[in-house]
Amino acid sequence: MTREEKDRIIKRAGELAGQYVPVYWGCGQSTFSAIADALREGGIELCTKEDEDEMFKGIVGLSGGYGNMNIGTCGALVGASFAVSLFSGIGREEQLRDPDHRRIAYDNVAGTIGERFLKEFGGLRCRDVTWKRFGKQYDSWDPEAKKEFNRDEEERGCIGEEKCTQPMAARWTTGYILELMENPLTLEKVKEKYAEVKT
Amino acid sequence: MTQMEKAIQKARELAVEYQGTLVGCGHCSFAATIDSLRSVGIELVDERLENQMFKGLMGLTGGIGNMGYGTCGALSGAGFAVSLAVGIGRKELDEDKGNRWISYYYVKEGLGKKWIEKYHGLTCRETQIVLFGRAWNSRMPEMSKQLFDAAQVRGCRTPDACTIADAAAMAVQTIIDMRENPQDLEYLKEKQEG
Repeated sequence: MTREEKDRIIKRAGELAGQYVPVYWGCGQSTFSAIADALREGGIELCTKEDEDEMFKGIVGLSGGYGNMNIGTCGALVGASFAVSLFSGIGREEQLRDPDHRRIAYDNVAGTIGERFLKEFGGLRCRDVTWKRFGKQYDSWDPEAKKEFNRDEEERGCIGEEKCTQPMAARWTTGYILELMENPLTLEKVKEKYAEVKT
Repeated sequence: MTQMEKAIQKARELAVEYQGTLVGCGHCSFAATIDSLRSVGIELVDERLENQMFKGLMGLTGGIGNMGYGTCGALSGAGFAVSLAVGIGRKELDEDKGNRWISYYYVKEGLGKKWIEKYHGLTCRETQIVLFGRAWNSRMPEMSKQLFDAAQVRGCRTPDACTIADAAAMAVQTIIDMRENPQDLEYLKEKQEG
């Protein structure tokens, strides 16, 4: 795949996330679907469209830092991590054959979008992200605070494909998945890393 | 024994079994929830799709990729199962974007609030601190091993003491409650949409 092709897919992930946020209005599902759909348009299928729609239903409840409680993992990061992990492709069969397979999924997620969130926002929770981006933390179950959050997002131009956290996460993650396709983490590599401390 | 009691017991047993074979809080709490419900006749997804979801949830283990900072993986896998059972997808959000609050409600009430009562937070590290009085950085192989050893010493590999089992049991209870007594959420949607 050429650099131009990769850039086109990455850009498309951001565009789709920007489109999905005001329609599906949840960070987890919007981010995950944008990544999966952009990759599919580029000829890379993480899962079928039908499976994606079912996964979407599971991710909705993890949005907004877990049930919109804001104190769990940022929903955009949840959707992004789910996509990276799905790409890693470690299912029951692989785990039963050798449980060290799980470290491929863990390291793929932590070494890409996980570390990126830490670097950009200083944490992985919804409130870590809003603290860094808005200088505020909100309780999304408080109607007044929720309105203020929405108002702050609009005033700062955060609803859109450039500044919004979901499109940024979608672009970063799509790029990471394209890199992982070219340089996959193998079982041998993780075994070497964890060789001295079998758990 | 009621359907609920059977399913909860099965979820606890499977969670411990899976932590021994499939290893990892996110995918094990999810699989224990789905498989225990299936054992009492409630099939949220078929086994093929369950395995696809398992692949996606694996990376949410250990507070996101074993980083510890994010939501406890057991809670993530269980929350995913609850949200899946609520069933708010693209179609439902196209009809009314307020429908997402139904998923949020059940995840928060069924799991999140209970977790906070016990662990004073939702993250992997907060959970570990309450359980063990310390939290380990599982990105460091030696620390990951120490966590596994501490869990063994504490007797965490039993249905009543396992955190993954707790999360799966809460998810099963929430899902069966929801199916038997679905809440009227119109008020909730109106309130939250302002």
